Amino acid sequence: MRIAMPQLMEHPIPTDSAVAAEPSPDVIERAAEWMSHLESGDADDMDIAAFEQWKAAHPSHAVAIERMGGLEDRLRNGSPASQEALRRLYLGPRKRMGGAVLIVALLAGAGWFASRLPEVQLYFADERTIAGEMRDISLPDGSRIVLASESAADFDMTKGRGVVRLLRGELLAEVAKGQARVFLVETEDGMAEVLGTAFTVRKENHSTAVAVINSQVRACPAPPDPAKCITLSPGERARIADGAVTRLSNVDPGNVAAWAEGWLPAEETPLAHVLDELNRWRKDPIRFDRQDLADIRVSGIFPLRDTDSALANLARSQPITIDRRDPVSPLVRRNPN
Amino acid sequence: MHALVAKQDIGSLYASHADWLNDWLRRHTQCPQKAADLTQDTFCRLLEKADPDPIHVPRSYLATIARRLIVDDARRARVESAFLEVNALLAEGARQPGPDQIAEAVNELMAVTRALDALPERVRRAYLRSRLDGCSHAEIANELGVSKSMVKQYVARAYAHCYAAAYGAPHPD
Repeated sequence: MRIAMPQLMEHPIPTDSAVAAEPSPDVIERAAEWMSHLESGDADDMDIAAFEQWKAAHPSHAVAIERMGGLEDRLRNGSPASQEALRRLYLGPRKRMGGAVLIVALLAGAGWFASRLPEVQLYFADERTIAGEMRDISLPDGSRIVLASESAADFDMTKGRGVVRLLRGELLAEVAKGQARVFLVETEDGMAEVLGTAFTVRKENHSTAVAVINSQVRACPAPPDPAKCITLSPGERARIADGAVTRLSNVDPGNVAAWAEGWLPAEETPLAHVLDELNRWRKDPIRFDRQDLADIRVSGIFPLRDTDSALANLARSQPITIDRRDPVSPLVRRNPN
Repeated sequence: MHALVAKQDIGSLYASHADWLNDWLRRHTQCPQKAADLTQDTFCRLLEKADPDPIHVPRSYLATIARRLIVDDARRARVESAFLEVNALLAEGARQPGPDQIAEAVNELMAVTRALDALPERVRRAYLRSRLDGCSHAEIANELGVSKSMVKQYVARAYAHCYAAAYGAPHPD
C-alpha cells in the first residue's frame, strides 16, 4: 500500500547511479528488524557488530537505516504540542479533562503482599497485572478502568448495572457520565456506589478507604446495611472496616488518582511512606529501616514507571545514601550526622 | 488497451458526472457545502495525478477518490481539534501559534496519522507507547499482554510501514 506523505517526500528522485542504493522491500524489512532489535535492549556487542557488518555490506542497507533514523528524528523532534496531540488521538489524554467522567479508585485486598484470596481465584480473574504493570481497560458502556500494579478484578457489566469486584490491589474507574444505571466498586469489606459524579476508594489491611474527587458517593459496609452507609462530598474520605463506616480527614482530590498517570505526589510525606508506595510498583523492593528514616519528610512528584530514578532523585535531595551492591533491590540508609 | 485520462477527458468527465458526484457526496456527508467543496477537490485530485490510472467505471472511480477525501476531511477535523485543544492547555498565558504555524503542524500531523491509521491497533500502540511515552519493550509487552519478542516484531513492522509511507517503497502493508 502506498501512502502519500508530501511532507516527507524530500528525498531526491533516484538517479541512475543511485538506483543501486535504492533499498528493496527485503532490505527495508531487514533494516526495520535491526532498528527494532537494537532499541529493544536485547542487542549485545555481537549483535551490534553483526549490524555494522550488515549495514556496510551494501549501499542500499545504509540508505534504509539512515532513512529510518531520519523518520524517527522527525517524530521525536516534533513540538511538544504535536506529540501530545498524537498522544490524545491514539493513546488518550495524559491529563483528564474536568467534568466529563466519574472517577473511582480502590485499593483492596489484605495489603499488597498477602491476600486472603486463593491464588487460583486471582489466576482466573478477568484482568490482573504483575508488579510494575498498569493496565487500561475500556468497558462496553464507555467507562474506563485503570488497574494498578499487582492487582486483579472481575467485571460484571450486565444491562443496567456495572459491578467491578476488586480482588487485589488498586484500581481507578472513570465511569461514563449520564449513564442512567448503577455503577459500584466492591471489595470484601464493602462497596462504593456512584451517585452521580467522581470519587476514589482505597483499601488498606482489612479495611477500605473511600475518597471523593467530585460529586457524591455512598460508602456502605458489607454485609449491606442502609443505616450504616455514609454519603461523602468532594475531598471527604471514610474508612470501611468490620461492618462499619467512619469518617477520615479530608484529602486533595487532585492527588488521589495521580498513580493512574504514573506519578506519586508527596507533600511533607514521611520518606518511609514514599518508599512503601514506590515498592508497590517494583518486583524487587527498595530495602530500608523504618526507624532509621523516621524523621525524614519529603515533597515532590515521583515517577512510578521508573522507581530507580525516583530513588536517585530522593538521594540527591535527602540525607540518604543508596547502597546498590544488590542491583535489583537497593538498600537506603540515613547518612551519619 | 486501457483508455488513459487526458486533461481534456477530465473536462468531459466533469460535465457528465459532477452533478451525480455532488449528490453522492451530499448523501455521504449530510452537508451541501462540504459536498460542493469535495466535488471540486475530487476533480482537482484527478488533474494532479501525473500518471493517471485507467478508468473503467468513471462513477465508481470518482466515488473512490471522494471516499478518501471524506476520510481525510474527518481526519483533519480530529487532528485540528486535538492540536488546538493541546495548545490551549499547554500555552496558558503563553504565545499561541499563528495560523501558518497551525496549518503547518496540522499538515505534518495529517501525514503522520495517515501512516499510523493504516497500522493494526496493537502495532500502533506498541510503537507510540515507545515513541511518545518512552516505554521499554518489556513495559509494552506487559501492557499488551504479549511477549517481548512480539513487541519487537510490532515495532519492526511500524518501522517498515513508516518507511513505506514516507518513501513510497513497495511494502506488503
